[in-house]
This record gives sequence, C-alpha cells and structure tokens, in this order.
Amino acid sequence: MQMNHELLKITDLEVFYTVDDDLVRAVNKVSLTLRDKETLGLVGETGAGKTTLALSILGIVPNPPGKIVAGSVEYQGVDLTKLSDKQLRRYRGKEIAMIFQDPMTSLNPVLTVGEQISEVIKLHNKISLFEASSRAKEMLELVGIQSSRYGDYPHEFSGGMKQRVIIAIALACNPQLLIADEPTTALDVTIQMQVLDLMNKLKTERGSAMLLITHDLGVVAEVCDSVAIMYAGEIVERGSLRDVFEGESHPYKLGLFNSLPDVDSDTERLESIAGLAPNPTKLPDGCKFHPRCKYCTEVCMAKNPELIERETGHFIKCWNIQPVKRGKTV
Amino acid sequence: MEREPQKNTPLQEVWKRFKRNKLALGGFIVLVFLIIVAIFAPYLAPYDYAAQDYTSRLIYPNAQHWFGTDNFGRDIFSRVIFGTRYTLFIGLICTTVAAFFGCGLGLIAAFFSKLDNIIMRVMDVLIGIPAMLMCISIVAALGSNMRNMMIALSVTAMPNFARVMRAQVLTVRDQEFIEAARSIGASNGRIMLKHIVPNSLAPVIVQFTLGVVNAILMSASLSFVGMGVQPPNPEWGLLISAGRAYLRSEWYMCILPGLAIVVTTFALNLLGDGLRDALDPRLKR
Repeated sequence: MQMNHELLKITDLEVFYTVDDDLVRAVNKVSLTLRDKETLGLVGETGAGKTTLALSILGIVPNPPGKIVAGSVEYQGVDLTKLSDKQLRRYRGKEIAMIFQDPMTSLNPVLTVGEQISEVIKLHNKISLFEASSRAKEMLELVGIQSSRYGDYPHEFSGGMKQRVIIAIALACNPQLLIADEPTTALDVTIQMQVLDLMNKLKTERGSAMLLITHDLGVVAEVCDSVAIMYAGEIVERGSLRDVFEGESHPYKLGLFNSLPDVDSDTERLESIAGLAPNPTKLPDGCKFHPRCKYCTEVCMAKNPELIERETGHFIKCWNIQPVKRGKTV
Repeated sequence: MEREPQKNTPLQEVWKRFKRNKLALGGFIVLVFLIIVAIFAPYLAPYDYAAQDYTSRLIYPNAQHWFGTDNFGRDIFSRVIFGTRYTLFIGLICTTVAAFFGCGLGLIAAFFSKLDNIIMRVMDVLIGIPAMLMCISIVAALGSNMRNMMIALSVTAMPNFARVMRAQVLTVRDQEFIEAARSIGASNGRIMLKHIVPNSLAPVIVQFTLGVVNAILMSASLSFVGMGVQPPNPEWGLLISAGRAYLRSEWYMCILPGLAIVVTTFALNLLGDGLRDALDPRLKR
C-alpha cells in the first residue's frame, strides 16, 4: 500500500470564536497531515476543538461567531481556506464528506432517506432524478438497508440504521476524504462495532482516507493508522498508532491511558486526570496543560513548548516528556 | 394484491390526528361548504343579488325570501351568498400575500443575521401601529376601494408572519441536519428552501388560518365604515352597514349577515386550533 502522497495538509490553522467580546481559541496553530488511504484518529476531551477542526476543513465553521483566522488547509495542493463558498461547495460532499455525531438529528425529518441520498448525488453529478434515485438505492443496499425503504422517513429507522443512511450519504459520491465526527458516540455499544466495521470496510474498498474524531481510545486502536491528541485547541502529541500507544508520552496522554480500565490489574478505582479542562476564554500561560500536570515545572508555566519530533513521525509538545512505560498496552 | 405494511407520510399522520378532533373537523367542513357556496353562488342564489323590487321592500324573512329583503327590495339571502365570494376572496388572498412576504422576510432575517435587526425593527414598527388605524391610513392615502383595502390588510398582517417564521427558522437553522446539508455542498438557497422552510411551516399554517379570520373581520369593519368594498356590492360588512338604519324595526338586515360572519370566523378558528394541535408533535398520542 502506497501511503506517500499527502492528501490533506493543515498548517498552523487557527480558528477563533467571538462570544460576547470573549475570544475563544478553539483551534490554536494546529498542523496535521493525512496521506492517501490513511486513517487518522483525532482524540481529545469535549471542547478540545476536534469538531471545529473538522468543520474548518470543509469551511463550514458557523460564522458568526467562528472564523478561520490564520493558517491553511491544503487538499491535494489546493488551499481550501482561500476558496469562495461557491468553489468550496464542489469539494463538500464530493471530495470531502462528513459523518456527524448524532444520527437522530443529522437527517432532515421531512425528507425521505432516499431523497436525502439522491440529493448529494444530484448536487455533484449531472444526472437525471431517476439515475440518482437508482444510485441512491444501490447505496442503501451497500450499507445493508433494503432498497425498498427508499421512500421511508428518518423517524421510521432506528439509530444504527440512521447512521448507516448517513454513511450512505457521505460515501455516495466516492469522496477521497471522509471526516467522521464521533460517529459512534450516540449509538449503543453493540451497534457501535457494526457501524465502525461498516465504515472501515467501505473506506478500504473505495480507497478513501479517513479522519476519525473520537474520545474512545479503543476505537482508535481498532481502526486507526495514526493518532493525534488534542488538548485545549492544540495538538499535544501525534504519530503512528504504535508510537503513540507504546512510545514516549505527553503527560496528558499518560493520564488518558491511566484512566482506562485494565482487566489484568486489580484496582478499585480508576485513575483520573486531576482538574477540569481549562476555560477556553482564559487559557493558562505557558503550556496549556500545566495546571493539571503532575510533572509541571517552572518552565511549563512560563513558556508554551513546541511540538518536537522525538522519533521519525512522532511529535510531542512538552518540556518533560515521559519515558516509555512498559507493561501497559491497550 | 400484495399487502404493503401500513406506512404514513407526515401529512397523513397530521390528518389522522386532526380527524380525531371533531370540532376542528366541523370547522373544516363548514369552510369547505363556504368555498362551494362561493364558487356556485350564481346557481345557489334564488334571486339576482342586485335586482331591486320596490313592490317588496323591507319584507321579514319568509319562505320566498329566507333572509328577508332590504330597503331597495333586494333579496338578502342572495346577497349573503354572493358576499361569501368577497369574504373568502379577501380573506384568503390578503393572508396569502401577507404570509408570502412575511415568511420571506422572516426567513431572510433569521438566516442572514446581519439583516435581522433591520427587518425585524421595521416589522416592530408595523406591529406597533394599531392595525385598524394603519388600515384606515393606508386606504385614506391610496383611496377607498377594494384593492387598496386588500393592500392595507396584507401589510398589517405581514409582520405577524415574519415573527412566527423568524422564530421558527432560528430553531431549525442550528440543527445538525442543516450543518449536514452544508457539508454535502448544498447552497444557501437550497438549504433555505429545501431544508429550512419545510421544517418551519407548521406554526405558519396555524397563523394562516387565524390570519384569514382577522382579515375577514377587518375587511367587514373597513367596508362597514365605507373604506373597503363599495356599494352596491354585497360584502357582508357592507350589508350590516346598510341595515344599521333599520336596526330597530328590521333587525334581520344586520343580524343575519352578521351571523354569516360569526359562523365563518368561528369555523376558521376551530380549524386553526385543530391544526395547531395536530401539527404539534408534543401532543402526539
């Protein structure tokens, strides 16, 4: 498998929200690359800026209050932040498609599921309504729903099936890049695996790359090739799945892993990261994580560390990088 | 024949819930009846509504003249039947025009937040002026006739629609499926017309039925004071106005056309209430 060609390259992206004169730095100098057919897991807690990052790739950050302030999002060499809305529309849905978090609310309740799948097909292809609907039916079959349900409304489907419909919409135009924003969070655990398997299978079949946003490290270990960890709008660590799961560590990631239940050890309570995620309007000076960090030193409070490459492709943004810890793998 | 499992479109669901409300159904039937009367007025009216007969002036209701005759000997029943045309025409057209422009403005105000303040403050000004005063001023400025009265009625009803629509669009606009529509490359126009409007219409439909009631009452009042439909046309308000000089002796000249207004507005109100209940998903049983 060739994984050299850079499909998506985000450089120093900054996205700010203005809420009642307060400036929220939702995405703060984030750089990421995603190669063809790669699956990148974007991990972080609620409010870390994961969704905003995803929305800004498509240029659909709600404005106002949000705004892409600086940086670039290059997709196959084209800077999407420089394009007009009209030009961007040709990418949305066709080149880059998105799967939203909550299948209950991301389908239009007054249109049939078939109409919603054919809508995206018709938007990006000059074909007749009949052809679009027959392709929509194929898509339904592909995600495991009988094509006879083309004329049904979203409320007649269960949550897992709605998410399948949304996957069908997202994949209908064979996008090169699939952004999945916590696609399984709103689903039952038993359905989660089905949906994830389906996404992974279709993505591999069609050779798309995927940006998977999640806070489930189990999901990451299952499907991702590489991982980026976000904290307070910044990427604190990124690298291949193996590097991140077994290599040196940012203290935040260490905290995340320590808070996972371990079947082998016999602990009464799970460990948690002390404190709360910082107020996004008043981010601390220096390293954003320092108030919660066990390994905090003077320099952490004063200066924000750079993202440095420790090994090839493994970046960590910390003054006190924690060494490899043996005996605990996910 | 193969039996498909029972499937209901949202519209069928609404109709099912609406049917259960007998009063609303009654209102609906009365409205359908009135529309039929208006369409077939020339066939239903026993006399020519304008024919004067000085040998039979001011006759009390009887078998020949169900609603009696007026001071020119015209058959009031025939005049009321033809009046249905005016009433429904004015009520429906004015409200439709008001709903079209009002909803359009409300949609734009809610969708493009930069225009919100401008549009809605203008609407506030229109609402701030008492409706009757506003209608009278517009008609006084443009001249008393039916067309100008209809313009006045449309203008006064418009802000209500703008408000209802704006409020509704504001809640629909932020839902995830709008974001999803954007993410598949739908344009603003498409998002507004295909995704937002159909999801915002329920309260507008209710407002529409109540708006028709309002327009009917206002047109009757304006015609009554001579600022709307002009005699000898048989508008209901005008019939009441013509009968007011005879109120002490020939009371039927006012009361019977008045009853027609009451029945129509009552039916429309029941219909509006029923629709509101049927369209409100929280009342789903």
